[in-house]
Amino acid sequence: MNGGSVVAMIGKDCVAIASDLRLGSQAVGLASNFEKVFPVNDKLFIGLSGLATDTYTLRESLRFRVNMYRMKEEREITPETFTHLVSSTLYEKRFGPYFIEPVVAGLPDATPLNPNPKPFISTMDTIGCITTPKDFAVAGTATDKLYGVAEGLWEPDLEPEDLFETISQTILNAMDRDALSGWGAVVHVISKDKVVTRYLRGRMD
Amino acid sequence: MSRFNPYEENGGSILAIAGQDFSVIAGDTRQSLNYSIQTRYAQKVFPLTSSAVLAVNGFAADGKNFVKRVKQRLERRMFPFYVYNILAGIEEDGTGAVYSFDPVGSYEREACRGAGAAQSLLQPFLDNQIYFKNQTLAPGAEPFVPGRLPLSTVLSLVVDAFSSATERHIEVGDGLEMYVVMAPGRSADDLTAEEAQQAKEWPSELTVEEMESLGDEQEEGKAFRVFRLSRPLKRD
Amino acid sequence: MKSDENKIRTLSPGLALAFGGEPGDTNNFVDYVERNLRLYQIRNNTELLPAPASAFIRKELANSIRSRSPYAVNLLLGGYDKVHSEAHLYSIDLYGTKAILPYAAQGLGIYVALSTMDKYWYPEITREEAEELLRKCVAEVKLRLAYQFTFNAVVIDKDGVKDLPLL
Repeated sequence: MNGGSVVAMIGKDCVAIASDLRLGSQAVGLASNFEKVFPVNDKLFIGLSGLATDTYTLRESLRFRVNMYRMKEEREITPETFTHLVSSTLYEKRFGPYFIEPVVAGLPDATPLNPNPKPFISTMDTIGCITTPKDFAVAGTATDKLYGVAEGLWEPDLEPEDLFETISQTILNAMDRDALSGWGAVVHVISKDKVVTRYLRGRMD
Repeated sequence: MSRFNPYEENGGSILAIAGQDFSVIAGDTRQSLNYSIQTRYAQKVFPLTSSAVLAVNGFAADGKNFVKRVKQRLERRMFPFYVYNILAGIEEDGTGAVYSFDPVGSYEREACRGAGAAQSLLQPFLDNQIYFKNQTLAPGAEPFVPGRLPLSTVLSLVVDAFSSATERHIEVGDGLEMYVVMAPGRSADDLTAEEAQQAKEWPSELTVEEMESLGDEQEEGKAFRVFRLSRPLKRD
Repeated sequence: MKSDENKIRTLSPGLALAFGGEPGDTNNFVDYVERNLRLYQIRNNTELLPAPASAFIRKELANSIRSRSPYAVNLLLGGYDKVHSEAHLYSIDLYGTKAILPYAAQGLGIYVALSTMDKYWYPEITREEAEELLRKCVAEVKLRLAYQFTFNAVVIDKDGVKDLPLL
């Protein structure tokens, strides 16, 4: 109804997540500044594509729950745990779901139990059934187009800059074949010591 | 009561890319109905004349009949065949050409086209790799011109496109069949030479055979050449 | 049908709400919002700024849409944030979809008004030019729409909400 797409990809010791910027009401474009990817903490992001009102609602309710977790546990939530938090939040509304397909992307911190953590992405359906791909995750109105391009462009162990190019080309070319996605995009590349956020200009039609 | 539906959707995908003096046209060989595979080898790409090859996708029964009737040059519009067509070959001026059609006959000449069940997966990939969409020129580099890629690049793009579609679409897979039409006088070394087939870019498990010419008026050395290339795709 | 109803409500000295939708729902919902913002002001001795006000309104509508009797109300919320010296505009629909925008339109004239503003709006637009652009939109809508409505408008700045004459 509002349109929009999200994609996340794994690279070598880095992950990237991107969304388009369009907010529409059926065929009418309302805003070109509607980001669908939100930071959870320094190295963890969530993309919420689907019904725009639920994008807001879910973001706020997850922000509340993550803040509560942070205060009770006195540590940051890991991507895996956060995925399960999102999943349970969605399943609470099993018979009147949020119309959102989330995509989670994060770089876990090293811990004594897990000294060499791997980059992590996950995705869920509207009621919270989790998938954790090894390559990339897509969601939104351009899902099939994103699959087509991502499957053709992605390769294992991409360095941050190459991962940025791959995810950017993927979302731009998929968006251009989808009437309900587009109007620019935002890309976050999360690596060990920094997060690089770039805004992409896209076709405005 | 549900009304009788005279059409079926038999899955699969087709694709064609034009080069400067050749064109490549391809289709997978799976034919399915709903979640069942009817056959792992059903032809979707048919050599029509000495210089034109047609790919047909949609309702397989209509497709088969359509090809039969096209060969007899028959027209039908009121109760259309439920098929999407892509025609690839060599134009009169010797350039590679791709024409795509919808079921009622609207058509357009393009540099490339994907159609069928996995159109939405194939087309944005081709936009990027054939039309160079969303790519910016490196400083001092040659400008992008769609339709001028070398044959070896086109072949590996076709194979990549179909491998990707096979990976993510249940109706695409089993086998890939490609036809390459070459303009008269063009060397086929980049397809048949040992050297070309040993190159890094050359797709794995690809078999190449030259087709017998469908024309009869052509002189030796000035004939169009058509090659049939095939390769397995994943069967799951 | 009434063609001269005032569809703009002043919520607080720096905040005004334009509304459309199901006739009974609109006034009832806007009353509810207005009273709650007033309650906040009495309790905290400070006005709710535009950004949090928009969050409050959005959430009410988002909750309402999944209730047994949802409000069918579309809103444009304009406000001036005196703390940060910033003007704000929000478009909020009946589902609670909030867009933060430099210019917005809703209702029957949406296509004409948005097209007009797409063409003439620019980031450094002055107050006078913006008022003139609003008049242009109204003129275009009147020209293209079969129904004839009367329009009213307000300007919101650091001094509060004031009526804007359209002719």
